[in-house]
Amino acid sequence: MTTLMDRRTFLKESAKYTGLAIAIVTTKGGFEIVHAVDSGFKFNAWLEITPANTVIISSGQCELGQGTHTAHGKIIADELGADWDQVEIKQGGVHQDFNNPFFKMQFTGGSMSIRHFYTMLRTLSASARQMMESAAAKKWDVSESECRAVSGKIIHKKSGKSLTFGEVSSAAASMPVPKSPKLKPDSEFRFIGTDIPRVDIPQKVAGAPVFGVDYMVSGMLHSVVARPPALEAKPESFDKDKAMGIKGVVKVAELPTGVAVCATTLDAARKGIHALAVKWGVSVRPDLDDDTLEKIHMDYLKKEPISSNAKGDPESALAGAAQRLDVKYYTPYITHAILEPMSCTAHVQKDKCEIWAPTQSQTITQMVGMHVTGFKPEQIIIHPIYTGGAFGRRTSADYVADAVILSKMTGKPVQVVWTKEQNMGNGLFRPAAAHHVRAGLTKSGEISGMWHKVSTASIMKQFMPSMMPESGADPSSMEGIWNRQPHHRRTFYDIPDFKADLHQPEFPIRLGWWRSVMEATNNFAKESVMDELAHAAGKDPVQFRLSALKTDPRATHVLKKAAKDIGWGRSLPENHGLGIAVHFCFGSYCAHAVEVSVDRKTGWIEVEKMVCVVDVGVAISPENIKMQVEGGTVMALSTTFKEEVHFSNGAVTSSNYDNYPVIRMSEAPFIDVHIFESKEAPGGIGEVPVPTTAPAVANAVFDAVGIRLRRLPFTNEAVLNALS
Amino acid sequence: MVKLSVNGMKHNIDVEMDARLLDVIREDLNLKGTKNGCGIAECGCCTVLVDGEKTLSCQITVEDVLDSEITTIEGLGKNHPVKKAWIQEQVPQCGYCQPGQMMAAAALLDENSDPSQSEIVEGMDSVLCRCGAYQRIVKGVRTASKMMND
Repeated sequence: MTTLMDRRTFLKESAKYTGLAIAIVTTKGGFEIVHAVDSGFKFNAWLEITPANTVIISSGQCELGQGTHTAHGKIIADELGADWDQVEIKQGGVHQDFNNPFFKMQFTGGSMSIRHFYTMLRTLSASARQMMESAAAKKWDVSESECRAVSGKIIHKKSGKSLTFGEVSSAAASMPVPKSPKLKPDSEFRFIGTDIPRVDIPQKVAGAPVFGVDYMVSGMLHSVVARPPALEAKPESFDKDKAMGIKGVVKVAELPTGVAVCATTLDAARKGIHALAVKWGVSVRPDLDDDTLEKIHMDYLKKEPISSNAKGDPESALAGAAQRLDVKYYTPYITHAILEPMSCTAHVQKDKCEIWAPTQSQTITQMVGMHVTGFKPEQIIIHPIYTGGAFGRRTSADYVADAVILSKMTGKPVQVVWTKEQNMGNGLFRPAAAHHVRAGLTKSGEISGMWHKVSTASIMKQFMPSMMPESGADPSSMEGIWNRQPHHRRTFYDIPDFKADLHQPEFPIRLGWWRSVMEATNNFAKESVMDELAHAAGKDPVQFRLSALKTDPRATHVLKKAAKDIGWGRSLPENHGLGIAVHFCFGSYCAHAVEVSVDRKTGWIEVEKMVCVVDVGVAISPENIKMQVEGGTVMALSTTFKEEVHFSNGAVTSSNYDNYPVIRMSEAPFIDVHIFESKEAPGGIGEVPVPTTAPAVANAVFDAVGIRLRRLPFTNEAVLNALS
Repeated sequence: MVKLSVNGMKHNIDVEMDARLLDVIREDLNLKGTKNGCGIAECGCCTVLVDGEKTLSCQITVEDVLDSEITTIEGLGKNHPVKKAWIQEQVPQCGYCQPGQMMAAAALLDENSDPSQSEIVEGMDSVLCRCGAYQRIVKGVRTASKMMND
């Protein structure tokens, strides 16, 4: 004789695992469809509280190693009044609840994951908390104001009664959503401002298969795509039969991006590409090499600008100056040089398309999926997985399209993996930039007008052409020099007479966002120029900057602290120098101060000591912020000393870490990081330390040996040339 | 068929003698912890131990290791001081290079359990970290060293 579980127990037990609202219960007469009463509390895509007392937090931002998932967990858990032990953090897929509240799409970039979501997450958590408190109050027939959420329980202090979140969850779900929930005072934070172990670290330490290239699904085909080394070259011929003859190869197909081989194993796919022996046509711009590119960028500075912005009267200020500075700067193309090759696994089925990929934007990935399959948005299912390096590279879904196309062709799941050479040489690149700055000084050494011209190609025009203004001028190209609104100020310094011109050459070179993007290239010029002006005025570089920051107390305090921490003004050995740089970007203030020594025989610049001071407003995870500063600074130092993508005869020649070296442990200094304690709204951190690094080094080199380095990278050769 | 000993287990696999050890580990044994980063001995992401020695698995073939004991990140053991230190110091950012870093650290500390700063850099310089987490990696090695010597 079978024993039937009673209905209430069945629903309670099944809700633990499924959280279903509907259940089928077997009865004496057959079966019954019932509404579960204990189905828990799903507030929205971000937050669910189960009857089993688990607080499931799904973050719509992607965990790139920057600690975002754990930080989001802390913000929600704190406002909710949860216990950390009951929290489970998950990666969210595509959902409108996850959209960035400012620009209505999912995008993990621009150092926005905290600053754009902080208030929103606190508000939704406060709503959920109040709904639980109301539900408990109703159950106990007491006043709501006497019920408080503390450490995963709703407590009625007067009577000592308590209910776990789980116990009150289902009742909370039917409470009205409060219109203006009250946020907790900062003094009640238990998690925000402390360092809780990151939720993504255990799997990474275990060596678990959590990255794009590690993903496996049954029946999966492996694909490698042959891509042209020369810019936009087309395939002239390839040996399809020979490739198909390789054991394991099942398909050869021409794609918009190149020629693909699909096989049952990765080894067979690689052998197939080799057998394919694609003969590529010529580059669309065979004239392009390193020198030509630099020359074209510089020549554009002499043409009419595509956009010109000004405040005050810069022409008169410059004309009336006692002294004038007229200098040019150049930063070359750089690439992300990410350790994990681009990859994507896609499975196009009859009525849905599943995509497993490292990504910085579920929305962009979904759009590519829709474009290829013609499916509706809800039919594209995105599973974001960990990435072995992002830095802006994973915002483009260029590595997604091929996998979706091939899966559609073969009817099987397909994983496309890029080769190392493609990973390095096929973009995306941070655009090169040439700068021409004219600035004036009064007799007493104050700035009298500044005119900053930038010549750089538009990332937005390639990436998101629909967002380009009618003028055709990319508004993001001048960021850091002439800021787009809303922003705290147009120019970082108090320079009343200022002109900013954009010149916009165009090349068939694939561009993308690289950790801090144009803030870094623009700030290299801006902070070097400030230093040149200070020296021309016979003034101390720190004092000179402070006199143009009188209206910005936060910039003032980070600059002063950085100067203090490096020991500004102390006597130094020969060939040693101190340099400093300060900036505001992505919502936070940052200053780097550095001591370098220069070896006049070899041209080697040694970073003897480096400090970084940041003001990020409320610091959610202080140790994590320090790690982002350390990492971002080291990455920026890599571009300062080593990185440049090389071109020859219209093709990229940079292909791996031997000819595109990046900074190693033996070359990376330790950074002393200081975070200002602040109650201001949180700013970003991921990209913030990059822009001030290179100019701080340039300024220190000038202090050390009197040479002004105006072109990145500062190779030994470049230093020796400048010294001679 | 080829017999390989990996993480204390014997495997019979159908691979060519000239197959790269990295590919065999990842594709034939499905041990995905060891990573492909460059293929040209520049990045160290493919670092494993061969008879306890730090080795770049992208640079050797199956034939080279027929009689050897191969250890990958999966075989390092949850309670290995390096793994415990890596968690304590919250070393990884993106995490892709970290299996290589941890294997290099294990090899270093096995030979010299109390390395100086320059010995740490010498032993670890073979593995790149694009995220720039070198400062924490060094801290991880120091903490692991302390755990081993306490």
